[in-house]
Amino acid sequence: MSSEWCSDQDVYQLIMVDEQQYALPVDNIIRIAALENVLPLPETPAWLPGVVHIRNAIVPVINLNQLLNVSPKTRQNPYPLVVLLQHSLNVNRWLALCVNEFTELLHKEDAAEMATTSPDHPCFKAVVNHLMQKIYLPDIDALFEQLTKGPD
Amino acid sequence: MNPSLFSAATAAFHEETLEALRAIESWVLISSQDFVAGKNQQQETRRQLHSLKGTATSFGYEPISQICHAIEGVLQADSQLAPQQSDAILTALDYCRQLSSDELTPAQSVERLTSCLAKLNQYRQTGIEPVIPPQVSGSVWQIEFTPHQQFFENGHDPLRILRALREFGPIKVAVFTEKLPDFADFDPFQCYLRWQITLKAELDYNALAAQFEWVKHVCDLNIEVLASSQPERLARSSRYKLSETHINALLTISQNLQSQLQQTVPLINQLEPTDNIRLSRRYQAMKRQQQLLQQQLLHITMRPLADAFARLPRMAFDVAQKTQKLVQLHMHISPIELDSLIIHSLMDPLTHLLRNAVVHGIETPEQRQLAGKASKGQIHISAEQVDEQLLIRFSDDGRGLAEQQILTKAKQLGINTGDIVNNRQLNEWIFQSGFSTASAVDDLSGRGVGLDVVKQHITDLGGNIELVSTRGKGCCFTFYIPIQQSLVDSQIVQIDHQKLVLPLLNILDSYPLESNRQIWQRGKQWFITDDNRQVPLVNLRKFLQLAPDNNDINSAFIILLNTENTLFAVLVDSLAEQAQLLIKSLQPHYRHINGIKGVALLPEGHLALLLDPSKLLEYFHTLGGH
Repeated sequence: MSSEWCSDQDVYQLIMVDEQQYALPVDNIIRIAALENVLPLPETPAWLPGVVHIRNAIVPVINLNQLLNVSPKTRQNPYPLVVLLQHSLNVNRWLALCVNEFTELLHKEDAAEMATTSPDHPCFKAVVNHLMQKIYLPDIDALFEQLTKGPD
Repeated sequence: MNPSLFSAATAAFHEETLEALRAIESWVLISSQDFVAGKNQQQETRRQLHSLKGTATSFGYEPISQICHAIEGVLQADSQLAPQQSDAILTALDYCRQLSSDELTPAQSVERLTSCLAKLNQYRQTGIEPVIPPQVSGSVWQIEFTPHQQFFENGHDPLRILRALREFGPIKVAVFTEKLPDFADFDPFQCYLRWQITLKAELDYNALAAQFEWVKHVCDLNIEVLASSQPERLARSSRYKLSETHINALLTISQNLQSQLQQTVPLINQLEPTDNIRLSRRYQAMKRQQQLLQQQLLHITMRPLADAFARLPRMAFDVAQKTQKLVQLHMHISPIELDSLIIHSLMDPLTHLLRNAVVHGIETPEQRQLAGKASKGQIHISAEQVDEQLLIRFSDDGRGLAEQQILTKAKQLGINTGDIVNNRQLNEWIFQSGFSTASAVDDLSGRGVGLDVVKQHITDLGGNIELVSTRGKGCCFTFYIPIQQSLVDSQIVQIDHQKLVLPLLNILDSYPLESNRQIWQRGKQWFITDDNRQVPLVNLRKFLQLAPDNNDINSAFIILLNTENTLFAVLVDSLAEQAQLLIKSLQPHYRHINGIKGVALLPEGHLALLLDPSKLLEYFHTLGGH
C-alpha cells in the first residue's frame, strides 16, 4: 500500500463483499451489526439497497460491488452483516456497508510495501495487489459525498 | 386514606390545577382581544373556575378557591374585559400557580393573596359580595410587640399579655433594650422595652390578635405566621433528571433488544411443536414489553411543538400592556411532537423576537393611525413540518427594520457597505454579533439587536434564518430547522407487501373501492368519483417504482387526502392500524427524497416510508397524470 493510502490511518480492516475484498480504515468503523429490515427507497441507484435503523438513526446501506460495478462470484447467503462507518470523528454522519465477512487486519507498515494502482472511480482511493487479490480502498469522504448529492 | 393514594391524588390535583390555570389564562388573553371568541368560551371558563374552586378547598388550598371566587365576581357581566381587569386576573392566576407549586412562604402567600383579592374586588360586578381576605391560621407565630412609651399610663402590663400567650402553647421571648436611656434619664413610668415572641400553637389570627385588643392603640404590633397550620402537603413525586446521553443509550439498548428478539425467531421455528408454542408465547410477551419500553422512552424525549409557543400569548399581552400598545397575536402551530431539544432551543429565540416585535416593531396606536394602519398591530406565527424541516414564520405589520441606522451601524463596524440596504445585506449584517451591543439598542431603536443570539440558537440546531423587512410594513423572519425525529399520528397502509405511512392529519376519508367504474380516465389523468366530485388519483405504485398491479382491484381501498385545500386520492391494497409513530429523518445520513417526509418506525420494529401528501400531488401534476 502506498503512503498515499495510509497517511492518516494505521490499521485497515479487510472485508469481503461476495468474493471481492475491500480495506476500511479501522478508525471510521463504529459498529458491526446484522443486516436486517432494509427499507428500499424510491429514486435510488442500484448500489443503495435501502436504509436501516441503527443507533437510533436511519442509515443508508451501500453495496460496494454495485458502486464499483464489479461482478465477483455471488455467495449463496449474501450480506448477513453491515459495518457502520462514521464520516469523521466530530461529525455525526453514518453509512453502512453490506458485508459477507470480516477477514484480517492490515497494518500500515505491511500496506506500504504493496503495489498500488489508481482505480477509475471517484469513491475509491486505490487498489492494491495483496496475495494475488485486488483490494479496493474506499474513499470514505467521497462515499459520504455520493450519498448527499442528487440522484444519478 | 392510604398515603400513596393521597400522594397520587395530590400530584393529580397539582397537575390539573396548572392545566386549569393555563386554560383560564388563555381565555383571558383571547377575550381581552376578541370579545366574540371570548364569549363563546366563557361558559367553559366559568365551569373550570367553579371546579377549581371546589377541588382547591378539598386539598387545603383555600386561597386558590378564594381567588377563583373573586374572579367569578369579575366575570359576572357579559361585557369585554378591560385591560386592567385582565391584568388583575392574570396577576391572580400567577399567584395561584406559584401557590400550587409551593413557591411561596406562608407570609408571602398571605401578602400576595390580600393584594390580589383587593385588586380583583375593585373590578367585581355590582351585587356581588367582595371576597374578604382569609382568616389566617398557623401553627408557629412570630409576634413583634413594641409598646409605646406611655404604655403604663393606663395600667397596662406587658407581662400579663405574655402570660396569656403562654396559655396557648410554648413561647420563646426575646426582649430588646436598645431604647433604655441612661440611668439619669430613666423614667420608671415609661416603657422602653420591646419584645419578640415566638409562639407554637394551633390557632387563628383573630384569637391571637384578641390578646392585644386592649392595648392596640398604645403599641406597634406585627403578627406573622412562620409555619402554616394547613395539613402538611405531601412531597410531590421526585423529579429525576435524565441526560440526553442516558436516553440515547436506553433507546439503543431497547433497539438492540428488539434486534436480538427478532434473531430468536428462526431458532424458535426449529423447535419441536410443543416447545415452539411455549417459547413463541414468551417471545410475544417479551416483544410487547420491549415495545412498551420503546414507547415510554420516546415520550421522554419528545414534546408537543406547541410547548415552544405556549408562553407567547401571555408575553404579548404583558409587553403590550407595559408599552401601551395594541397587539393581536395569531398562532397556527402544527400538532406534532418533536425532540425536546428543538422545543427547548426555540423558546428563547421566539421570546426574543416577540418582545422585539411588540416593543420596537409595532407602533403606538396613534402612530399607526397616522400611518394609515389599524390601531391594533398584528403578529402572525406559524409552525409546520415541510419535508424534513420545521418551518417557522414570524411576521409583524409594524414599522420594519430601521435601515438607515443599520447602515450607519454597519459602517461604524467597518463593514464595506453601499448606500442602499437590501434584504440580502440585512440578512448578512443584522445577525452579526457586533449589532447586539447595549449601546446599539438606542441607536437602532432595538430592531436587530440581539438577533445574533437568535441566530446562534437556530444554527446550533442545524437550521438557518431568513429575514425580509419592508419599511413601514413590517418584518418576516423564517426559520428552517432540520427535524431528526418527530411523533406523527399516522395511518399505516399496504401496497403489495410493502407497508407505507400517511399522516392522519391529511386523511379525509377511506373506504373500500366499490367497483372499477368508480375509477375513470380522461386523457392521461386518472380520477375517482367521490360524492359526485371528480378527484385526481395519484398512482403510488408508479411513485414507488413498484411493478404494475396484478391484484384484484376490487379488494383495494381508496384514501381521500387533503393538502393545501386540494383533494386527491390514492389507491392502496389494504389499511392497517392507526398509530402515533416515531418518524426519523433521512438526513443528515442521506439526501432528501421528494415525496418522502421521513422514515417511520413501525410497532413491530420494521421501517416504512412516510409519504408527504403535498409532494405526491406535485408529483402527479409533474407527470401529467397517468
